[in-house]
Amino acid sequence: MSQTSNSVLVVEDDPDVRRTAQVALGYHVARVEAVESLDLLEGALAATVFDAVLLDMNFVIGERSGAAGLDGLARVHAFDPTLAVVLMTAYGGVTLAVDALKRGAADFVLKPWRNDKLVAAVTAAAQLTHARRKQETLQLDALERSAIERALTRHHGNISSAAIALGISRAALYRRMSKHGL
Amino acid sequence: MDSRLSDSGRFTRAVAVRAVIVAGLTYLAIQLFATTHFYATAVLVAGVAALVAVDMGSVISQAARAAERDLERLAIEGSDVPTAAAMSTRLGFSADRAAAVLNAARAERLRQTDFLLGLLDTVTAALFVVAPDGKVTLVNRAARALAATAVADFQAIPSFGPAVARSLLALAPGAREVITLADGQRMLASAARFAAPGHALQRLISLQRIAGELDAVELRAWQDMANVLAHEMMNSLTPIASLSESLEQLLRSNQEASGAVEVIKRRSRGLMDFVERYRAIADLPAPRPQIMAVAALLSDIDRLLAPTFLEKHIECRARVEPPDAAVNADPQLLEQAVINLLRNAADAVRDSRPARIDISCRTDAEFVSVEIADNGCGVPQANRDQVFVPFFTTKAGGSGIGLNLARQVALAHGGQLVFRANEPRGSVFTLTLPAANAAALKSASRDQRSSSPEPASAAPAAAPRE
Repeated sequence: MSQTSNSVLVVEDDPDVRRTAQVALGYHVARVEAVESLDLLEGALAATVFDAVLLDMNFVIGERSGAAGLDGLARVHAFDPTLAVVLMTAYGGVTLAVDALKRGAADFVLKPWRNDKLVAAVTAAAQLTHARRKQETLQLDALERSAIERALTRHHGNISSAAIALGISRAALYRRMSKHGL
Repeated sequence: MDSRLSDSGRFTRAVAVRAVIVAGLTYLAIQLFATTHFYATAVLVAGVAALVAVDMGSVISQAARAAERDLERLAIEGSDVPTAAAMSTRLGFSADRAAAVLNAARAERLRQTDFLLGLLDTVTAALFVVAPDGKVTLVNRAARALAATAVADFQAIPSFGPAVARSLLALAPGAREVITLADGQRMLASAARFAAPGHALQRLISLQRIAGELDAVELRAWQDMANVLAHEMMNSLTPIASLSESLEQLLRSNQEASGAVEVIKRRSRGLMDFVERYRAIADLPAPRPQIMAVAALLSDIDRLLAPTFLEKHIECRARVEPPDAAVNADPQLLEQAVINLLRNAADAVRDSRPARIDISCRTDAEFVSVEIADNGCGVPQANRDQVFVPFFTTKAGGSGIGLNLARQVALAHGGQLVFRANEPRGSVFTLTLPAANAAALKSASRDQRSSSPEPASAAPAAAPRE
């Protein structure tokens, strides 16, 4: 698998596992950052635009419910709904995996992992993020286009009044109209 | 009624007449003696009075004797109303009431006996009361079901077998012991001794079905421990397995180092395979039971395994009795369990000629038992306790999870899976599951009639020509 320009955030409490994930992913993604707890999650997400998050499900020794991971998943999505999350756990229950996927995880990796499977899951998650972001941009463009169209119709094709109604300059409206091919 | 009245009246009259005659004659004799000098006549009259008095005495004592006989008969024969009536005819007094009191007491005693016997029948443990000569004097319903035949001689109960029966009879009072029945079921046996008035010293043997409860507890404890161990193991294994893969790529130029890393990688892969097998049995999904016909299940499985059986020259026959036997179980889990048992049997008969697997099915009110018997290599005595131990296997390349998984499926349904040796060779696995009644099955299959096969066909499996 060739290296991509993706950047990945690893959230894992075990330092050895954290380092291992960084090494395993290092050859395949441009940048791997790792944090040790969910407390640092939002800070890391704010500092860098990541393409995927690899998130451990259990942060407390003896805790195997995966509740912490599901909480982290919700927090990532609250911060950035487009960012795809791969969950990982050593205590792999089918039920837990199904639950995680239902709550919007992109994939589910069991520890110990095989490197190629981990890389595949993370790469696919990054692609999902890209697709979602592209979709979001498209939606934004479509929104803008339909707003301009509505304004133009309402003002019977009068560019000046439409620009005033949209709260932008005439020149800016011309630029946007040519971008949308209107 | 009339005759009774007249009978009782006759007795009263006879006594009264005689009493009056005796009184009259006595008075006459006294008068003759006191006022006249006819002493001889007076003596004669007194003599006649005495004779009548003797006669009256004999009438009374006759009636008393008859009454005594009647009472005896009443005591022996029980609530015999004609006897009571006859008695009251002879004795005018309230014999009816005496009989009624006696009968009520007896009825009360019978009611109490019925109540106690009924109570014994509700006890889930099988109870046998055994006399010193080995004869069974009392059993409850569970014991009758366990013995399956009419119980007379304790040692002759077929479901025990002579050896188990002997050890049960030898149990010291108060002792408890886990025994294995002829069909492989495990039970907790305990013994007590008691003396009832008028009886010799009796022995009470109680047998409690324990497999389900005990196995479930054992299983949960094992799973809890294994889960903690596995979690730690997997966390530690993660860097070893992953880093050795990464290092191998890094060290491609250095042959010695990459050879060393290759070993680490290989061994950690081995551990990972083990972990993956472990996951298969540690995380059995909770069963979603539905009512399903045993015959349909077996014929589905047969379709799946028939090519394998044909190829390996294994004759597999199934007999479902009754043909509409149905269980309340999760179809996927149960199918997996039966497939595991059949695969195990197929492996066992690999070197048998002819190779046979017999599937039979029995039902009682609560449970359906599916028996899978083979004439294969069997399990050596030393390994019999380990048949269901996870990861235990005697086969090269065996995973040791098939039978354990099947047993977990049985336990998850509130049933059980037991093993016993087959005669003359091979193994028998008995899978017991909660029964669903036939009516429930009919209403359940009404919606999905299309796929339900002929129940009586009972999966006639591949029968090679060899």
